[in-house]
Amino acid sequence: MPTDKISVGAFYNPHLAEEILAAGNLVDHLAMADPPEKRDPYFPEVQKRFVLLLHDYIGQLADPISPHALERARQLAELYRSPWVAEHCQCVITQDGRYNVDYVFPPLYTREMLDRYVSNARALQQALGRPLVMEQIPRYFRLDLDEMSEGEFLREFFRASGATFLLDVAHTWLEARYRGKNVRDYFRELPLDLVTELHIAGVSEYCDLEGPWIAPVEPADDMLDLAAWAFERMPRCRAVTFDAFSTILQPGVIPRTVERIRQRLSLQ
Amino acid sequence: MNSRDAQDFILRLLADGPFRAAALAAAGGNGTDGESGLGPEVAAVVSRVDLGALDRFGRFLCRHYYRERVVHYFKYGRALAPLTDRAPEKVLKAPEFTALMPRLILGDRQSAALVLELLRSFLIENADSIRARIPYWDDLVAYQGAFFLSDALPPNHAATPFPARAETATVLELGWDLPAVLPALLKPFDQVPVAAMRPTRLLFARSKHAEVTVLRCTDALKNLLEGLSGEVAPAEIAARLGLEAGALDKTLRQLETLGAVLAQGSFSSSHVGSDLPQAAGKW
Repeated sequence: MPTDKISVGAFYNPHLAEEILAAGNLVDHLAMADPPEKRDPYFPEVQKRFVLLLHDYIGQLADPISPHALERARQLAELYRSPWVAEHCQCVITQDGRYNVDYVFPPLYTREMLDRYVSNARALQQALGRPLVMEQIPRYFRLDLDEMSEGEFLREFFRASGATFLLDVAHTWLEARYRGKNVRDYFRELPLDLVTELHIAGVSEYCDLEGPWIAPVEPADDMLDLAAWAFERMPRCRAVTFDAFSTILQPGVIPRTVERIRQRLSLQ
Repeated sequence: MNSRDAQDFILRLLADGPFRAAALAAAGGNGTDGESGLGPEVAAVVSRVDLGALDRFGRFLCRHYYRERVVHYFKYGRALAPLTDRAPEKVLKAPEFTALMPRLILGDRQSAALVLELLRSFLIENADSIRARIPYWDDLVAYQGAFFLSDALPPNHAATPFPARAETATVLELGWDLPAVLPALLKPFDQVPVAAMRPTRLLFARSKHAEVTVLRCTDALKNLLEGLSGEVAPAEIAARLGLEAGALDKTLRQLETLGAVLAQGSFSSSHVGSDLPQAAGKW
């Protein structure tokens, strides 16, 4: 990852590999949500051409990460030569392993959970020998069991663990919306000064939710404006990533969106 | 209740449709004896949750959960959708699936079987025109269905004194040699790829890390699996099948790693071989 400029990239979507490889210097880095398929003919070239960021599911930081999961993450981080590894601020599996929502869902923002996240994040960073960035996850429904705000939880987590912030603009927009807060005010509650990586994507309407939610789609112009506003407040940001990983992603979306991000954030 | 336990309770409300429905009913005063029906600690958590929104999110998660699996495990059916007009994921938008959602528990094998039943009906019923173009269509649906079902969590295993076949280890008998044709289905083609018509037996196994492996299952391997009741010592099985004890032990270890066999004491559960598929394939 270059230190003299901010890297702009996208997620590696194997079905769009040819297009990504043909994008020239438009894409600096690729986030890897899944390990490469053994028969992916493009991955060797992708590995040569791009900085790769480990953005797979490693394990939930609410609980100790198993040796099996740590070893898998270590191997992937080495394969990618990932300058940092990412995990989500989520807790999606019960302690007995019986229930797993298999989707992102944030923890309760309590002192007990914070201690667990800090302890397990320290162990993860030590095991991998690489810095950790943690991405915040929005909550759709009201849950009055928190002891602190999301912003307080995140700031304290980063301070105590040494990890830094992967801020997702759409997640923040959704969190503010479902909390009924002004989105820019909500951004100001988050530790923007600790952001290493910025995710930008759009949202879609879902009938089950009767409203918008996370989706692998292009950001609307107002989402991009919001990203640009937030980006100005992130002095340590090193990478900006178009956060869309899905087989439904159509050709043309990645280069077009990366170009729009570059223009709007003045990252030419 | 500490916050990690409270988180687990919320996760169960989201993942377990019947549990969520019962909690919603109880919180609404429809529980036993007209009271909440919830214990005091649970009632305290429930009272601080927007249950209507939680229910919507639970339904969203349910549809998302099965969509991910249908897209992944029925990828050959999806690739053939331009010919069949039956994209498997369409099932998840059907009223039948919406009606089923309150009965589904994410990861549960019985729930997966209910969803699979809908998928089978959608893909196989009144499908003669599809079979005319893709003669191995029924086998393909069965193959993908076995994968889909293998993804679900295994049922609780009652301890046995000796190695036992895992309940999730599925042997599938097909009339067409599908493994040879599957890669071609994912590439562009002008003519539907042809499969050889010959009896083919496959073993599906789910590892403790939730990885599903499929391998060809010989008569010897089938006989071995059928003999693994959990009540017979490996030495006796080896004698019955005319095998050398060391070779049987190695195979049992390999099958355990794949998840086809559950071990109990007679051999280590920590061994991970590097030659699993090949060695297992000798059977």
